[in-house]
Amino acid sequence: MPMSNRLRSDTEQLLQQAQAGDAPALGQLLENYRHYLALLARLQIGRWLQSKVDAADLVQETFLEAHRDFPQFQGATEAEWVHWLRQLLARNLADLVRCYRGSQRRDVRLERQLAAELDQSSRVLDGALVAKQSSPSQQAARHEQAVLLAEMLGRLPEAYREVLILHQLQDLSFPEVARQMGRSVDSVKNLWLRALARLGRLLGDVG
Amino acid sequence: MKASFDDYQRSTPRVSSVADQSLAERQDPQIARAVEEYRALLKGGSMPDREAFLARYPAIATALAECLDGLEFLHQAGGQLNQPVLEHPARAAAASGQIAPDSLLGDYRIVREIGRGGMGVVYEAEQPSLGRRVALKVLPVEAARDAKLLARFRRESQAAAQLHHSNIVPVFEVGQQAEVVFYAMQYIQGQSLDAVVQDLQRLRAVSGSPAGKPAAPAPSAVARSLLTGVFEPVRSGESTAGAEAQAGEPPPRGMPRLARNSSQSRDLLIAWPLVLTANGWPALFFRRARLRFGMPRRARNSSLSTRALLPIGWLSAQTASVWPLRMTKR
Repeated sequence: MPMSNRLRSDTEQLLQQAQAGDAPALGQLLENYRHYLALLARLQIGRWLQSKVDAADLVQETFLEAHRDFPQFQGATEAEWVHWLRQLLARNLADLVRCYRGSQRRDVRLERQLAAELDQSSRVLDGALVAKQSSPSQQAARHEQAVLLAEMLGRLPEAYREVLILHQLQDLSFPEVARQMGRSVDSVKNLWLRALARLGRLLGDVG
Repeated sequence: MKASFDDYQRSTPRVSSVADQSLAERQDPQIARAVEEYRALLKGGSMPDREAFLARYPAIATALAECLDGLEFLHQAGGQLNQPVLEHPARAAAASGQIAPDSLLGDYRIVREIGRGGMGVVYEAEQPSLGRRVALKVLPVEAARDAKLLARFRRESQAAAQLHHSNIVPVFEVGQQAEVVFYAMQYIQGQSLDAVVQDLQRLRAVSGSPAGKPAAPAPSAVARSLLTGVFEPVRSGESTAGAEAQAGEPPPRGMPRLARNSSQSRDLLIAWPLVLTANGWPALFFRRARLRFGMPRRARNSSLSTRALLPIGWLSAQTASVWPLRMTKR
């Protein structure tokens, strides 16, 4: 079974179990999306803050809240689950940005903007310009690609992951990536190629 | 799912690390160039012919193919995360400017195309969540890729959204789905300006007098209001349309301040709502008057009266032959 299908059916089964009160199922449910949320958080943080905040902390915070508020979650599908997680993440992200900017008061505009940005990726994930004929499973497949990508990146060695995130997802130039990673431009380019090849092979394995 | 990287390395055939090694050792600038070239193609929005591309580099094809696997996936999935990339048919549809009825764009379901112009296509659409009709203006894909144009589009739609006036078509939302940028505004039923002009021409031909005796068919409400020099809003149900302030209601004062830096501070946005049309004219035109000349202090203090500066341009060109508009009178 392709990994993305497995992920979806897993998620929906786990959701049922968790809603029936199975605590380990909830843990697994969250764990399956750790990489995805971390990547999303990281990309968003990169847009808002110059300083390097650990996305993992943000995800941890989100998980805590997800644990606490899980009884309020009513959905049954993977899409609903991811959307819910993303909302929690957006709220935490807004808190964080506010904190770094040193303003105590709530910044409604900021929150709205952040929510919109996360929402934008969510809309895209949930099906870009969904044509009539595109089936729910096709939409889901698109959606899960991002989850899968995050998972794959999580499996790469750190330097590989860094170069792909910085150069490709954050679209920084090679000199800028080299500066951030403390390497030469040549070595970063080389690293980039190896990372791409490794990712390509990982994909081949997963099929 | 839980396999660590070490597990992965152990379970991966030896060939992989050899390939890793060989790439690393050769530091082949040719591969780097080829991959960068392919990436540029992907970023350009085209779907490159992968086989043909690989065939151009037979010596490095194996190593290159692996890199391309990674690159394509990253581009596709990463684009969803970060910079939205449309899938092929949808992008093609948007590029050709034809979004099929019943397609969904954000929260909206396309009903039909109303009209098209240089800056996009306007659709009639339905927002099921709120059960209302909207006019959806979709920016051409090429324009959406141009950062400058996109910024301008956003600035202008934000400005329009800040204007609250019964004679200015309200903007509900600016949205983006993948590479398709759009904004939703109130759908206004009414008559097209060219129909109004035709009415007027017919009327003048018959009577020679602007207040023409109704030997001709009765002019429309808009035509009548043009003849009397006041461009009144067309009201149809809850819809409104109009171009210039009608008597009794002053135009919105003080254009919104959009400029974030001083070099843009003179960029004024003038929203031009026009009558929405049945046969082809866009519902709303934006004109940004780049006022290169120094403005009086009052104007700079954003108490600028739109009436004094409203550029008549297109509207008057369409109607000048018929009747001199008195829309700019104070």
